[in-house]
Amino acid sequence: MSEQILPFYVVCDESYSMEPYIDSLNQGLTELHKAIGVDAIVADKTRFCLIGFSGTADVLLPLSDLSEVTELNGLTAKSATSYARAFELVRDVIDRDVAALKRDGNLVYRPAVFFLSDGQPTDDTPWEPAYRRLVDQTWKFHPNIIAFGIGDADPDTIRRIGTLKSFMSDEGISPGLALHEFARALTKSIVRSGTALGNENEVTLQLPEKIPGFTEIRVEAI
Amino acid sequence: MRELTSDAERWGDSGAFEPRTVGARLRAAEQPWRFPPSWGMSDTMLEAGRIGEVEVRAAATRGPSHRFYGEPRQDAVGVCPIGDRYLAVAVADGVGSAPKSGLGASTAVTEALRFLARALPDAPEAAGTLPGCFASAAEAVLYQGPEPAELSTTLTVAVLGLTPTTEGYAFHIAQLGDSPAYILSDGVFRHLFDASETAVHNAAVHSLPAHTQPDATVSGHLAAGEALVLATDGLGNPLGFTEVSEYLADAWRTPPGPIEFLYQLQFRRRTFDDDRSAVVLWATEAVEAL
Repeated sequence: MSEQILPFYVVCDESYSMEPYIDSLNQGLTELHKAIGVDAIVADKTRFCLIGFSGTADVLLPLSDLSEVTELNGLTAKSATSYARAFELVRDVIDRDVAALKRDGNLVYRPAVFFLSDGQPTDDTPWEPAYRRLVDQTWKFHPNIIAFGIGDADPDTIRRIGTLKSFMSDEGISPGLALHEFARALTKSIVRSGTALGNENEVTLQLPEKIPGFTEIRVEAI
Repeated sequence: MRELTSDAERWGDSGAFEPRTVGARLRAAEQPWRFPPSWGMSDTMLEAGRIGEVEVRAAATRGPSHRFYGEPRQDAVGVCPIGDRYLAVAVADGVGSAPKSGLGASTAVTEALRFLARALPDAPEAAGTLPGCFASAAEAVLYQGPEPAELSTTLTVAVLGLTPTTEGYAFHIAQLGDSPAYILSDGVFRHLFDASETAVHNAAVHSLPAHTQPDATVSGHLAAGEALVLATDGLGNPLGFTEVSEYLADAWRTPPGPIEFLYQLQFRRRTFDDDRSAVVLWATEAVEAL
């Protein structure tokens, strides 16, 4: 099969601090699955992978065509928050997935990573080397990253992770609502990108202009 | 919600008219077409004819994605004989994400051909005149409205001299953006412009009206039995796959009828749901006198 494909990787924090809100996120992901699974144009051209991380990182849904997925395994809260494990895993998975897609003769667009965290990393050693390997421009499959911080996440850290855009949830918004808006923004992005893919000659990854409950954080001019 | 109808309710041409599936099935192509919210661009434009020994087929047609979502066509093609010396043809692919980008494409094609029809009869030669049509097309796009970026479009234009030499018909092509051109010869589509593969597919291109000069030009001769093909990437991308190039090379070995040409252009292949456009010029083998 030779097709044109835009892969999405959703990398979600599932540390204990997420526990009270994880149902909102899972519900949002179920709605995403429903919305994309019935849209023939979008489901054909996008692939979706879900990775959860805490002290470890796991692939909860390998890269899939959502119209062929019957059930989406949700996230479950666990201990610790290792950014390094998350970045290492997503790099390995992208490297393997994109190589396999290309081996099958597909036209693959640059992968998109949606990274979501609600807290500070608890890594024993710095997470930056793993991050630098993920965004290394000499690695030909390096993804575009959109970073989302909610609750206690550190804006400076989140800002450093997004390569395309970074967002922080607004003060006062409940984390549950923020997670729901995150899932909606992700759905919109997949639908718009999948619709446009191969039909547009401009930037392939389409993001909603505004995400309710979130504010974009930009690199400040020095 | 754009729910899919069941297989029993498949919609569209059937039997001999049902476009060929080349590769995996494209489900969206079996769904009812939806009308754009306002009319202005027809679903399909088709041109065909014969000038001397040159057979011409040209079509721009809405892809399954725009039909499925009820969005207007964003591609355009044009064919214009200029006296009995030249044939000018153009393809354009509207790149703006706004629904109006088809207007940019059709404006660019119309103005580029209008420019050549004015300039070529008095020009000493075609190659030097050709690039001028890009600035003229850019200006026409700018006049279309307050937000010209929404009308951004690629443009590829070819001029074919209608007096053949021993090498064939001389042609000159200029390209702005990624709408490709090929020579179809001996069952193989040969790229006329650079089409190097990248690790991950890059979709960014130059376009009118921000750019007013072609990115590249190429000249050559079209020999008897060969065809010159201008396309948009809606055709160019799937044409990169062997199954597709073999299908069309065989279908276009000799000039098909106009409706047959349109049928062939609309082959189905999973994920390749963009608008499709092609202008094909066949230099037919002259019938030898007995």
